[in-house]
Amino acid sequence: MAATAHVRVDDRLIHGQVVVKWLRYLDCQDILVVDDELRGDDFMQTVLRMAAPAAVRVRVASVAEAVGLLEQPALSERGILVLLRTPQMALALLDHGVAFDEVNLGGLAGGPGATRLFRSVSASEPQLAALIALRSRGVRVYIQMVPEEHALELADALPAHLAKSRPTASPDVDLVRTQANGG
Amino acid sequence: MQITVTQAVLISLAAYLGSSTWFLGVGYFTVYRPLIAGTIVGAILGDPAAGMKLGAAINAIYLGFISTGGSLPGDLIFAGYIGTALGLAARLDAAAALSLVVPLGLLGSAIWFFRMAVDSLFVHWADAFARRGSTRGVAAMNVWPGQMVLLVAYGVPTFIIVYFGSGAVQSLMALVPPKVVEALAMVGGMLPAVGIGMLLSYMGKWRLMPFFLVGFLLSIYLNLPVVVVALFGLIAAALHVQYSQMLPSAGGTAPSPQAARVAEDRPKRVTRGDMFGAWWRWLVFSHSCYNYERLQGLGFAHSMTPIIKRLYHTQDEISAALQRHLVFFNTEPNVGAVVHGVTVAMEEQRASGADQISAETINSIKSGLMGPLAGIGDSLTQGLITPVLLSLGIALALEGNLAGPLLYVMLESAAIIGVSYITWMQGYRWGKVAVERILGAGLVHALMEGASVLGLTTVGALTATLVSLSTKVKVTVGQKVVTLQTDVLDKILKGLLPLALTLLVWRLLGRKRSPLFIIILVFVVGLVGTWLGWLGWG
Repeated sequence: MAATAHVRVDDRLIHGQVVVKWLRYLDCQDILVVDDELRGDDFMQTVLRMAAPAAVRVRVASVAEAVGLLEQPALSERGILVLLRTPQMALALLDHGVAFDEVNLGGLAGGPGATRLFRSVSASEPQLAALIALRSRGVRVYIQMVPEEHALELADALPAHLAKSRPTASPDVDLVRTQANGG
Repeated sequence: MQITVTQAVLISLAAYLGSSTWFLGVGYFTVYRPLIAGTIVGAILGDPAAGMKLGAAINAIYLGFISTGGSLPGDLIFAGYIGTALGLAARLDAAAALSLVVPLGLLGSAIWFFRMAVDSLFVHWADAFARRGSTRGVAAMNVWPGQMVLLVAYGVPTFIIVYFGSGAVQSLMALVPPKVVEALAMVGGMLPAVGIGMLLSYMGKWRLMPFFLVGFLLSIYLNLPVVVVALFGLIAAALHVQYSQMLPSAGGTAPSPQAARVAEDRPKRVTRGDMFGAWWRWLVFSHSCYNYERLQGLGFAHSMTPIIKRLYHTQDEISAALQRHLVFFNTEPNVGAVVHGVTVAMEEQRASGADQISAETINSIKSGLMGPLAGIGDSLTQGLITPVLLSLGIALALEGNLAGPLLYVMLESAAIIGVSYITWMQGYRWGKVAVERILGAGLVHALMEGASVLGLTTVGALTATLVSLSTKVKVTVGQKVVTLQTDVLDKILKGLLPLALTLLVWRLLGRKRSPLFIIILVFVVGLVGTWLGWLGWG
């Protein structure tokens, strides 16, 4: 994968923090939204394209397409921002052979049964399992909403009983992986 | 000057109101800003003009202030309300007061995080009311507990610091040697470069920087007032947008006949009054109970209460609708109001028995649209409209003109409330097609480009008037003493050092240096430079 790709998990995808802060901070001219569901939604793809500044190119790709796109060495002269709605999607990218060292966890909405990790970042059971799986596979996961803030390592935000254990191939994680592949 | 108990109480109430929900949704854009805060504190302490000038100087550091998704760099309430109160009480000049303000701003952000965390509790109380189908309960949970927390969290520390701190600051300043006061004044002159640099890192594209230089030169060589330079900026913006052919072609915004037919044939059950009431609730209370767990979720549910009462009648239906809208929600509240309009249209169809509008459909449209519209909205309202108008307000205020804050409040409020009303009503009228109508016509990009040109020209002039930096270095060449500032630099370009400093800050931010790092750097350079005799006047 191109060295200048930044992977961010944020269920609001392109929004204020991304447009006003990250695109400028990272000097990115390309956004790649990897999402199998949105790939089939023409309306949302139009909206996402219109939401980005005029100079920024937005593409929406399925996981399979993203693998091909990210392998092209000259995809972008500048950095590319890869946006994902869930950590499961990051895991799916890994499973498809896309290598990355870091995932910026920028925002996940809370809901019934979700664990609050830090400020506006929460994770449901499958999302937690995927985050832990990412970590156990050597990916640094850090929580940071905007560049001005300090990055918080996932390990420091996880509930105590999850932070210590480092599951390598527990059945839960395998389940998550299969689900992410499937959808 | 001694601040009386009454004055301290009034200032702490004002600090609460500045962060509160009571100003028609424009509080964050007006009374939250140090320009307005300073004027109010000045009025309380008996000298509105002095307070306004101090507030304007403080606001200049925060010109590039943009808060997104509940995360913000520093907090302006302490900087504005406490900063001006202490500054006026201790009769500090603007430059010395600025050095107080930076730590106050950082302290204030602790209050903000506290509020965002505590408010998460109240959405659970709202959940309980929603389960019982009580629209009044949900509304009350949005309005009251969060505001009580804010009153205490901002009011109490403000009272303590203002009442007990003003004497301390005065005695502290009496102890500070004149040399340090001079050095702090130098730092105070340099600090506005940080605010302007932050704004440039947002607005300043290389291809548009000529406009910044034009503004700077018009101001420094022709001494044109910033307002006049802004008028030139407006002309430049109009020409630039026309000549670069960015304007959308006429008719580009018309909906397809099919979309128009669908929108018109839709059965309408919601009345004008319901729509206005819902919009009004959102305008005023969108951030009343802003919290980390669901951000504007409770504000959204509150705004939907008149619609829910109109469309649904059994307790089960009302309860389900309230719970449906109590989920996580966050957008830029003004441009993003189109989402609410679209949601009302969908709820109306759902209540009329349209099978294809499920709760999941409504949720996925809401959560899909809120992000992208926040991206556009934050760029437009916080990134362009606000700093451009603030630049004008600050420039007028620094000349001692009370029209500065007044004009700012009027223009800013008209712009924000106007955007909110139009997007909301368009969303309802056209359904989700409205988003394409608003964004797809290219009008928004043209508007942003024009606003960037206007903004850069104005900010160029502001750099010339606000940032100050000069050197005292003298070089002896043979028999002649050459003064670096007047004999060399001023003959190349007046204001060369302030301009260079501002552009340097811009580049440093571009190289991922944090604003706090740069502020500390400015303090070190200013203090050490003055101490060594390199920096100074004359």
